Amino acid sequence: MLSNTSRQAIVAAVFSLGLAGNTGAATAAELVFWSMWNEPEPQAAALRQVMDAYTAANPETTFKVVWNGRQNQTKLRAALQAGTPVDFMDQDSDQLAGGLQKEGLGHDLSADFDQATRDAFLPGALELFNADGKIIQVPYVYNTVNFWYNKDMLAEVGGTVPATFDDLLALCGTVKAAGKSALVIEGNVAFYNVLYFSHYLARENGAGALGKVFEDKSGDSWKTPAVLAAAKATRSLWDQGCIAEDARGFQYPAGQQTIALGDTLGELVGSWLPTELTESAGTDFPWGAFNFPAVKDGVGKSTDIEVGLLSMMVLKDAPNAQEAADFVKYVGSEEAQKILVEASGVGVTRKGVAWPAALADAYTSAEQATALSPFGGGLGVAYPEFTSTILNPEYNMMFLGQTTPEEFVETMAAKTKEYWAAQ
Amino acid sequence: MMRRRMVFAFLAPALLLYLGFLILPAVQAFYLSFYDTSGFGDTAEWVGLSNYATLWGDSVFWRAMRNMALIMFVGGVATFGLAFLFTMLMNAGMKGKKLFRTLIFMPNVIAVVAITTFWSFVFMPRYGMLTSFLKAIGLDGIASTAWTAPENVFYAMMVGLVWISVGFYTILIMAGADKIPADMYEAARLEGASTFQIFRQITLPMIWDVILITLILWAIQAVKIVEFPYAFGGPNIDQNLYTPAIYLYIMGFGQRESVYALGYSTTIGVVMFFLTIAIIVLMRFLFRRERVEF
Amino acid sequence: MSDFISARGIKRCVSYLVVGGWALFSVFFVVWVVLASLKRNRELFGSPLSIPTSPQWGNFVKTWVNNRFGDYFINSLLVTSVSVIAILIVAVPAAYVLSRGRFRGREALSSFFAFGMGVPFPLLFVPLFVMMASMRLADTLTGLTIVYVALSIPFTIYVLEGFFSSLPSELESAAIIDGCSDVQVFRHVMLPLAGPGVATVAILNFVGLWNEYQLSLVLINSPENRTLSLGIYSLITSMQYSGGDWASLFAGVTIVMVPTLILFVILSEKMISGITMGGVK
Repeated sequence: MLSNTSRQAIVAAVFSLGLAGNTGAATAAELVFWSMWNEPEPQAAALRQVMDAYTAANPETTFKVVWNGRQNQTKLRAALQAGTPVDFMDQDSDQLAGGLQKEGLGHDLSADFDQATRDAFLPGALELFNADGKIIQVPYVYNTVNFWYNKDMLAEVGGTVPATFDDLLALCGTVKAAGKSALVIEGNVAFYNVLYFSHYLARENGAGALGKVFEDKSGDSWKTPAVLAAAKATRSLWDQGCIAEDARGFQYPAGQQTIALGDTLGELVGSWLPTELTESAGTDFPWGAFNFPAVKDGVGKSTDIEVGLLSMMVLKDAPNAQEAADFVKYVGSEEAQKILVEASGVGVTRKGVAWPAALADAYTSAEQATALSPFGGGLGVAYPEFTSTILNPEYNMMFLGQTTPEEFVETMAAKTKEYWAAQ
Repeated sequence: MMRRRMVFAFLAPALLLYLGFLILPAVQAFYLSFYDTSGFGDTAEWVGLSNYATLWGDSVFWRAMRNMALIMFVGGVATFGLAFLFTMLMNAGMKGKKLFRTLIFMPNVIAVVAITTFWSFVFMPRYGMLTSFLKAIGLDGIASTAWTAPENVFYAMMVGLVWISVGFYTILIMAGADKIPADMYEAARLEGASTFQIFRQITLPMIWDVILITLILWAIQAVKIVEFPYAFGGPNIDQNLYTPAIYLYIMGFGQRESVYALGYSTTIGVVMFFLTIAIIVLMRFLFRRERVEF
Repeated sequence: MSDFISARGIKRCVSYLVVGGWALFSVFFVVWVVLASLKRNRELFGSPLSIPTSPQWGNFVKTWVNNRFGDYFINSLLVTSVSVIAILIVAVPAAYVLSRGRFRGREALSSFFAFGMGVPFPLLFVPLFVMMASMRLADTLTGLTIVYVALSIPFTIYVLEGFFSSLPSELESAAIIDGCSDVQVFRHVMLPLAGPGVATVAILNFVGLWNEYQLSLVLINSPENRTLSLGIYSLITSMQYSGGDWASLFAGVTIVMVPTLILFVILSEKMISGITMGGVK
């Protein structure tokens, strides 16, 4: 191992000498990139291609990548304490918003993004996590939340895409009559299950409704009829047989596997689902997606969507902030975004760059979006502790039938009041 | 008898490493429990004992403590009961003892994630092994139980946990029991003592110090337990499976939600530390007994 | 024949049934993991109990080459074996002195070491990383080894103290009367007697460190420095967004478990022979 390391060091030294000799430029910069991907993942390979393309066009800029995997931001925290220099990094945008961005550790990129560059993004994507109008993080992978379903099965049972929540309940009956389940859940992934609630509430009261309910410091908003109706409606998915009773026990990813196995029509989840199921469903699985339907007398549109973006961020103390900013801008370019789609099969953030075939419906949903919110109506970004320790578990208990909708709203009203009183 | 120089030379390396790489960082960490900080190099705010006060009134923490106590006592009784049973049976002159012992311990050498994944396939509703097995023997009524539904998941986890722990503690206890001279057993057997009597009258008193060590180890592990329930719970672990150490991890190390309350998280760790000390002291007191020598 | 129907015979049968059944379940588990590593993902979820129809040896190739488990294997072997040897060199003498020595503060020092077991490791993540970085040991296998050794000391000493203190003191006295020096008593009398105990802690530490991932996750970044359990961990975290390749995960798990299984089988024999030796009086 030692000899291996030193051999690498020598190779690296020779290589960098050679490079310096070639360019002879004083501006040569090696950008340090800490990434949320693991090296063997296709997304890492795609980003590597993007970086190579960039270096080909700008030989003075090279990259040193640390493929940290999903715990990137947490690892970066320790590294920052130790003073390790890092130029830019990537992570889920909501996690960044509640982490590095909230701590003011992101470099302001507003000046680097002119109007034309900003307009090239799909509607709302770049602005969603702006801090006081400043661009701190730049999204490059786009996931929408929709009902992901098996198109062939929908046709076989003679169902149609539901336009309203009542249609959805009716569809459940149709699917059940054919001996299948319309929906499946992962019993232990509370933040997936909360999506039902935040969407229903957003359809009733408009986008971001859940955040507004929570921000009423008296807690009384939880006791309004709309909130109780949302809780009851989502619970009714079980009573109406939309979800099989034994799905309460599915532990991720057992639930989603039932879609691949042909037991279930679909699931309310992010557009990463087709990729996650590629191995078991096959590459030619007939994926379709539709938005959470409208609800009766609701003011929210069914084109308001919840999204999960993956963003790049240049660090405030980056040794090569300007070079890193230029690269992050390049990641949003048509050339780079096309590489990402082709090499890793993800949806991307630039308008007009088509997503992979399985995600076609998600692209439409993103392109036509009238309002964007982060997962769960954005509560997890603004109040991560409350969301992960109180809202998600309490909702999950109600959704899985351990408490009633009435008890749920009572508890939430009390906990919300308690939370604000302690601030 | 033993010279000072030797005592010093034998202790120094361990003590230095221990002080430098465990005690020093631990003291640094404990210091954090009096601060409100995210750990991102922000200016930490001195909050005194406020983290401790919040923790006292935190229902999630108490739920985690309750789970910990269940593991310690319910899991402990099951684990030690089975470990004693196996020691007793195997020392009653079973053939192939070595092989059985090796096989019983075997799961312990396998990555926890493989074990938890195996158990989640056992308990998985619909396609799981337990469900298939119950259906095969005609118990369709029980077969449809969702073993990993919120009200059951903790006990499902505990079954797997006890399974690997039994292997671990059986070899520790048997290693102790094997030090007992074989002629003592033979003498007892000649006098007509039953397997249980031999275990009760000979094995148990002779390995009292080993039992004390293993019990303390179990208690310490129960306080610190994180890996098994964490891996069993999957990427978005259910609160039904929280232990204090998992809660510490969730609060301080940014899991799905970006919760970075490093000060608060540290507070949980400090409480766990004092709990462990209390347990060690208490057990040493409770089990104080003459050392058996032979 | 009559022995079979006697009460003793029945009891014996029950013993074999209970112990044997439990042991068989362990075998079943290992076989299941190996079979799972040869399946397609679809088979794994749809029929977890089946025998793979066409064994997917490609899962192993993929894991060993693409996921670099080959490199990780060498790293793990290096870090774990060096750590275990270093732990024994450091902890065995210390435990001996702590359990057989007669000096002031012995009890207190022994408790002080034991308290280290109570420290939850996550507490140490951030301070340790900063410390390692300042010593230029962050993201190195050397740094990881030092941390492993230091953090294994309390547990190792605690278990070894138990073994040393249960050894008969007559042998010690006899050796001293025969004119052995204190170091000689340790080297030639007590150390061989403690063989089984040393073997036990060696196995426990080897297994523990071989499968350890939390500390290495914090201290190691570069893919070329990763250990096997970090490789497994990255396969698991890739399930989010990239999708669960469970079959490859089990191929990885199989690769991880084989060395520890072999080691255990060999060492458990040694342990047992050591125990019989220790019984001579």
